[in-house]
Amino acid sequence: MDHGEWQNLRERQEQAMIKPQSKWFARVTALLSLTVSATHLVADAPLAIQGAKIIPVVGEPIAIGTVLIRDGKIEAIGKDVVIPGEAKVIDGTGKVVMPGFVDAHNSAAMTSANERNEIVPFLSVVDSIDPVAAYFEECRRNGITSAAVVPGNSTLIGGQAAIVKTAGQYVNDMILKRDAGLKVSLRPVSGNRMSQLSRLRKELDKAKKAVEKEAKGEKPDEAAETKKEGEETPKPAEKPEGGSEEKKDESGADQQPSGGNDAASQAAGLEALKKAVKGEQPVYIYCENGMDVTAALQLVTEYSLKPIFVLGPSCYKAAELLAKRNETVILDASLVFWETNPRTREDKKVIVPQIYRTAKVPFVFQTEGFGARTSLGSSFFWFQAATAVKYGMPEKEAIEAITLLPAKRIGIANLVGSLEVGKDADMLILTGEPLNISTWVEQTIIDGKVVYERSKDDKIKRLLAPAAE
Amino acid sequence: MYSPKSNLAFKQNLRCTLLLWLCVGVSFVQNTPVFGQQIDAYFASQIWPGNGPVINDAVMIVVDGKVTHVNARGAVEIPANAKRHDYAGQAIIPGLVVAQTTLVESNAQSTLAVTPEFRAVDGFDPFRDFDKYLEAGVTTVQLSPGNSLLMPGQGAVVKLGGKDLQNRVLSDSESLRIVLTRDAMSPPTVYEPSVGAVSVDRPLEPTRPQLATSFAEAIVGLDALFANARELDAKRSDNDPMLESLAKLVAAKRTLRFSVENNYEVRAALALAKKLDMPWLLVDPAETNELRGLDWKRADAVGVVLSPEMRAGRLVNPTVPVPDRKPIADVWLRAKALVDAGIGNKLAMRPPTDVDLTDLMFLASLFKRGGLSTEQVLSMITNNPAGMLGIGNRVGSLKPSADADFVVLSGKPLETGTRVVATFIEGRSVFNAAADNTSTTIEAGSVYTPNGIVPGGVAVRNGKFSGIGASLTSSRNASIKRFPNGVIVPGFIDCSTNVGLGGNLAESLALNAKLGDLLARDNDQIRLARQGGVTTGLISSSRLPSPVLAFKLTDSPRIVRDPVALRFSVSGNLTTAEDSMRRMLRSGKAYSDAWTKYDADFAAYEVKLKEYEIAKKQYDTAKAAEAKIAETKAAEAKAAEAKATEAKKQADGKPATDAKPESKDGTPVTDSVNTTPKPPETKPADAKPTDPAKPAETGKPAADEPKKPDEPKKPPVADALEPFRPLFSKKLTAIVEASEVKAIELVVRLFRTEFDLITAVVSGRAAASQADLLAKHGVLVVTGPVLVGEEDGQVVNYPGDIAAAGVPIAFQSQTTTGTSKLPDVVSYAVHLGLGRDDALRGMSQGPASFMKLTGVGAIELGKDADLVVLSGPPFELSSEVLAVMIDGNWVYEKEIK
Repeated sequence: MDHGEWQNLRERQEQAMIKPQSKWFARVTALLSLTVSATHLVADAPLAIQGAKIIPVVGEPIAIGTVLIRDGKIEAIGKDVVIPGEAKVIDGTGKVVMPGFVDAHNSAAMTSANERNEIVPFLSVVDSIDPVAAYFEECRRNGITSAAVVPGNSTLIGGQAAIVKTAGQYVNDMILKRDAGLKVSLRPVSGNRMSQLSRLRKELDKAKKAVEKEAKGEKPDEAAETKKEGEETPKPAEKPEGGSEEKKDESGADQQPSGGNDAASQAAGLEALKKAVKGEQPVYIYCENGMDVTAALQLVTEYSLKPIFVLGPSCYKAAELLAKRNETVILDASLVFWETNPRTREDKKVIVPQIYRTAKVPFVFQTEGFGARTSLGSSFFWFQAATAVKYGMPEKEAIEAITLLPAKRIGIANLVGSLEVGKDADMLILTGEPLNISTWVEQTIIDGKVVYERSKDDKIKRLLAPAAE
Repeated sequence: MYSPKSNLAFKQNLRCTLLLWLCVGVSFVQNTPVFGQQIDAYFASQIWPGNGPVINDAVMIVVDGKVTHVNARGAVEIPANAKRHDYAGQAIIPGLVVAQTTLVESNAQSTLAVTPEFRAVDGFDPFRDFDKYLEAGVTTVQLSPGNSLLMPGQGAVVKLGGKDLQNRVLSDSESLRIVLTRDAMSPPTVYEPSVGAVSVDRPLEPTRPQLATSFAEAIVGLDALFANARELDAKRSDNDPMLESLAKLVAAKRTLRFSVENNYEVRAALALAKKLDMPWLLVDPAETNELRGLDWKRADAVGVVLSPEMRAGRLVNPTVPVPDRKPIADVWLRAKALVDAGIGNKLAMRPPTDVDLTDLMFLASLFKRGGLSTEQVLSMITNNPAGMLGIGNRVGSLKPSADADFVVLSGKPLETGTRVVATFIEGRSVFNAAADNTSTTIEAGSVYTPNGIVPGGVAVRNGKFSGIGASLTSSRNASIKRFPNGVIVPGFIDCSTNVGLGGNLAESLALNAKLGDLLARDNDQIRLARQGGVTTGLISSSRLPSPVLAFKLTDSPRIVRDPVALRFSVSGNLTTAEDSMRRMLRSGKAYSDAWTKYDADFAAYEVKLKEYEIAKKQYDTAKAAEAKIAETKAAEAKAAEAKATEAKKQADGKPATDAKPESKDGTPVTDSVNTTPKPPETKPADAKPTDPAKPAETGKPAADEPKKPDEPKKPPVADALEPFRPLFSKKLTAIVEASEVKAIELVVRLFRTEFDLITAVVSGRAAASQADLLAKHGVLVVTGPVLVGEEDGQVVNYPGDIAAAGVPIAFQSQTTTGTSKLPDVVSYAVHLGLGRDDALRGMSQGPASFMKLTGVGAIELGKDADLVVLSGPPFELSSEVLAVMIDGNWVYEKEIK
């Protein structure tokens, strides 16, 4: 453990400072913090939140209860939980405790996302995640404790997603799930949908062929070998000039120039695609509009993919098609907007959550989207749920749609998403009822550690301070 | 608090259970063939099946979105549970099929010239609004991935509407498009890949030349491409995807869709197809010489698609023909030549651009110029393209087991003015012309107008007649109803019916009673009564005298005039009857006269009042002028006086001190200007009466103030006598029942001679014998319900005899639903010699004009659109009532059997 890491640990400890429950406790704390070993002890001490209203998401809310956290997990939850003597106690009187929010699709966590290279299945967002990015700070401030970091919508096959906790010193500490899914975007960046889909099919076909070959017992490397052969012995020269030239060039573009790294990334990319085609890994499919949904559904059946639909605002037109699949979809951030009929010039208000609810398509929210470039940042996430409630979604469902439902959708419901014994101790202490405009996140706890306290949030203080003369 | 929620939950639960049961029920029921299916029967005057001759007076049966029968009405047994849809006077054709469009995503086209891997279906947005095409009857289209590059990709065939999105794609790879015309000979000659970030996975691509800058290059290039595709080893995983998809298309023997223009392009296309042994389709060949000798029966000849060099409602500049080349034949002549050469059902038509899809039928009718029949041209946009696209079993023709995609037209297809009324896809309506309730055009054989019988029909707008005759201008959304050979007559008037009040009214009513308040709404009797063609009815109490109300027999009866007449009866002992009747009329007359006099006096008074007001004004101004003069004089006098006092005061040595106390007397705020005029104001007022010298000064004569005229005294109001006022002022008609000869004489003597009223008698036999007397005095005779009697062993036709003497006649039924049979009763009188015109006038215009019902009774511009459509001349028992319209709305339409 070098000096730097030690320093970090200390900082973390200080961040996790807890208001002493009693004088005795304060004394003990002060005493313990004198020695290094004692600091370690305190870090592992159980944590209890007492006297707060608890919304566990699974099960009925507890009007006044206690949550006991040990070793980063929830040890007990209920009305009459016995708090061990060594536990630190947070007084939650008048507060509300609920699980931390789960963001099912986000690209903002990447410092420099790939927006140029269209087919890069081998890339992983992990390489681009910056633990000190403003995004994570915002997340902690606004109660998001887990997020799926997914490549953006501007590339065709954008690479591998990862699921992370929103607090940590190193990326590796934060990761819940590496290679959490492949991102595919059906929105053409250049050209049109016909070319977009033909390119996508080409890649998926490759993977499918490789999988089929494997299934037949052929060596998976054979493809690479034949490729080399193909390069060494160019195609027969009997082709006339005109067409062959073009053809050759185009095929040349597909065959990567030889080189160790390239072959490796090609292989990694193929592996990723193979996993997707085999259904071993989910595919985040971004659909910009209704016709993309039909195309996506077609692809899903053709290549037997395991999709996670990420929907643009106007995908609501395909709500009935999506209903047949009975899968949770990820909505765009713009939930309510106006649309003009190009023929009649009539304006129509589109209330997206209402449409999906009517069609009985379960959905979760995200803070990003085509129509929602907003300065509200991740606080928007909470706003999304409140908007849905405004348009008729029961509050219970809306809370589930930002906690347990996204956790289920991205496959981490065994760890987070609700307050249950044995799950990760990711939770929020709110000043009041959730989805209320005047409610603040008082403290954010990730893996049993307090990672955010409003009383120590300098930025909020400065923001809310009366303007200087 | 939770109870409503749980209640809701319970309800939902219940609903779910019900739904479940329903599903179980339906699935159970579907096993048995007849019930549970959606069966629709569409009747139309014509059905054009697309693949055969037109069927007149036809019916089409659709079961669950599929056609099961198309035949003449008599030849098909219609299932009892079928829902009937009547398109009488209209035609049904198959949904239109277009052999080539580019209704794909209009984003940037690819810059690569050869992209056989592109699939048009990927660019198809099923959520796009295709309503305007559906409104034009287009239901199925081919999609082409592009227009201006050598090999833009694979075509698709889709429906433009329909419930199930995924079933709308009929073919996702229908053909491979190859453009051989000049359009494709100018690709971006060098393909320049977009320059972006360069990385391992995305190296900087080299620019490269593309196919094809010349026709020869295109042909050689295509040859080479196909050769390479054929040699491709499908097992390899590193194949060029472009060649791979090309190889797949060759193996699948996909249709090659060539865009061609000139002979050499046609030749090259045919040669290429032959070499590859693939089926071919030619789009827009301008020169068809090469196609003359072909064997069109061969399977690989898929067909030819032509488009007119014309756009709906737009001008285009035709190209000047090159002098030494044979000019290109008009498209209709080319089509005719191909048909003559035996192309059969392999010829299709497409609009020149996607924009013109909305006018496909209009443009298609151009092909009739060349001598093709309507049937042939129609199949060029229905059956033929469907067959050429390989989907002939599903769309393009109305035949058993085909999809029920069809279009209802307002008239014969491909005729000027024919419009799409409705479009159906798989038995579901995807477009229904919003029938404009305010405008209706009725096309029929002839119209009975006051000026004689006119051929044609009528146009109705906002409930009034807006056009009569053979050539009618109708608004775009007007609903059109056709009754070939139908006869339109005005809606009939029944001069006494009992319908409308929910039963016979036998109470004695005050003459001022408003019968309109008693009218029943949504009365079944009214609905039945109007089926015979009576549109306006008069009602009164059977206890006379009674007011008479005129109303329309609409669902919620519309009052035309309340009252329109007063109905009296002269019967029994005529001596006493005459007396009492005269007494009543006299008191009525006296009352009426008193009011007439009052009205006259009041009018005179008003004139006088006006005069007085003018005089008074003049007087007042004169007075004001006088006052002013007096005022100035007084002021002068005062000033003189003040001067005198001031001089006096000054002399006393007390300057100006008086001014202050003076102002203290007045209000402190007001200044001296306001206070000064006060004394002179009172002065002239006093002066006027007291000072006789002053008026004399003005020189005006007579200080007499003009006298306000006295308002005439209103006579006492007697509600019961009120209706006599309009009666005696000839605004109302007196309808008098008189069944005896003497009574008729009495009526004439009393009502006509003595009191000079507009008089109608209700009589049969007696009126017939007194016809001449009645004619002399201009009395209308209402006959009915018995029109024919027997006298001295002779059959007497009362209305006939009365009308023969020149007496205007009218008819009454005095029944409830029997009102519907009144025209039939009149037919009997016509049968016995009553003139048809007299009868019709007696049923319509006669009583209408006599009783001043100005809006009804005749088919004339501006009158209420009340009409009856008959299958033949009026008052023929063989004539049937086909439809009845009141105020522009259909209130009865004969059901189809």
